[in-house]
Amino acid sequence: MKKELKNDYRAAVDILQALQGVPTPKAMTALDESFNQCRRWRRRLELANARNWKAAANDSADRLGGALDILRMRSTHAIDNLTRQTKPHLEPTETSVYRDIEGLRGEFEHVTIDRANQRITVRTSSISLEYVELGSFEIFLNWKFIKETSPYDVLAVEPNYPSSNHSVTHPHVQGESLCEGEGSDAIRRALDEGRIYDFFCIVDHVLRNYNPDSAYVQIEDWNGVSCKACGDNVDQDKVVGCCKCETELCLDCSTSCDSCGDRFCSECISSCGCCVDDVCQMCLKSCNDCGDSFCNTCLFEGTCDDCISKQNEASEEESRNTVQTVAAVHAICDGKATVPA
Amino acid sequence: MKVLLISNDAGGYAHHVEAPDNTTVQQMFERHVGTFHADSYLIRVNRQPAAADQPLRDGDRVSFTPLKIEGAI
Ligand SMILES: [Zn+2]
Ligand SMILES: [Zn+2]
Ligand SMILES: [Zn+2]
Ligand SMILES: [Zn+2]
Ligand SMILES: [Zn+2]
Repeated sequence: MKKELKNDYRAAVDILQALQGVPTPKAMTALDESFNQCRRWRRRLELANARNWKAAANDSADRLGGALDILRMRSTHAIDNLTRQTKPHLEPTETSVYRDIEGLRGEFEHVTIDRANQRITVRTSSISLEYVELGSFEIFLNWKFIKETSPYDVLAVEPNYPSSNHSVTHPHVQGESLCEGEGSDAIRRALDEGRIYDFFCIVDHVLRNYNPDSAYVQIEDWNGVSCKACGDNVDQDKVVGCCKCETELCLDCSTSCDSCGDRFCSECISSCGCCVDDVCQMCLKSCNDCGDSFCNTCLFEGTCDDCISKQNEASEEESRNTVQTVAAVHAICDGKATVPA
Repeated sequence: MKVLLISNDAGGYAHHVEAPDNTTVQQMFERHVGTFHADSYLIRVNRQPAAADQPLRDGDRVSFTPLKIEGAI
């Protein structure tokens, strides 16, 4: 016990040393990310509206709303940050950092200090989001890098990966990095001020929340994917991607091209103007004569049945006329016909 | 008395503030941060669990960490 206290105190001294020299100027990358999110959902919304996909349009509208909300919030933080940078920092002391470590030991069951690797690790209790069990996470703070952008990693102890992506362990954790969202400014500030107790509490709370508007994998898609046309949940191995626009669909909402066999969404599949088979735009060819689109079997040397019949009728007509003319001429020559006066 | 007030909301806030004796946790928050809902925050006084109506003492460290902090990509 005494040894642990001593070790904690030494760690506090090390952490304080690592903190000397703060602050580094804060980048506004979070704002850029937000802009991109808004653009992305706006594009999806436009696409869904153009294609009359109600489920996808509602979904995109919701997410665009959420993304705009985050953008508004981040803008407020950015303004706060600009004004705060001029205000004095809360200066950490050996005692305050030591008390933080003590506080962590009261707050979390597993707290380990590895002075050799300059690392303090806190294990969260088990986390479940919308009834999906994600298990415990370990938050590793590498205090050597405490002044840098992301001095910590988040690892799932027994990962429950979504079926679609094995580098994601949580809707907001990819690889070992957490996308902090709303927590980013408070996390940065806690680290800058050496408030490592607050830092771990904030990260723990971010992990306990789910933001469907900005997730690597939606929690409802954890064990499958939702069809973008009808909204049904589909197992990952049964998802059909449209061969043209890559939209993810269920089997019922995709149509196979009768010529090449590939599957397409309702917008990317067309039909032959003659046999009315479902044919993709790649397999459709236009008739040399009328310009309408047909499948390969309905075109003969580049011409559609209708145009061929029309051509045939025309040439029959022509040959009938020729035959009549020739017959008339012969009759005259043979003297069987009277030449009109 | 002087208290260290920390709000881990939004941009994060940590300041030493002057307050009348016996100011409660909730009064402190409302005076300096904003509208307070006890069940929306993890409240700690000197890194120990505390109730909203707990009176603060000189030198205390009171922190509020919102329970709802949403991550993002
Ligand atoms: Zn479907
Ligand atoms: Zn398509
Ligand atoms: Zn085709
Ligand atoms: Zn056809
Ligand atoms: Zn034709």
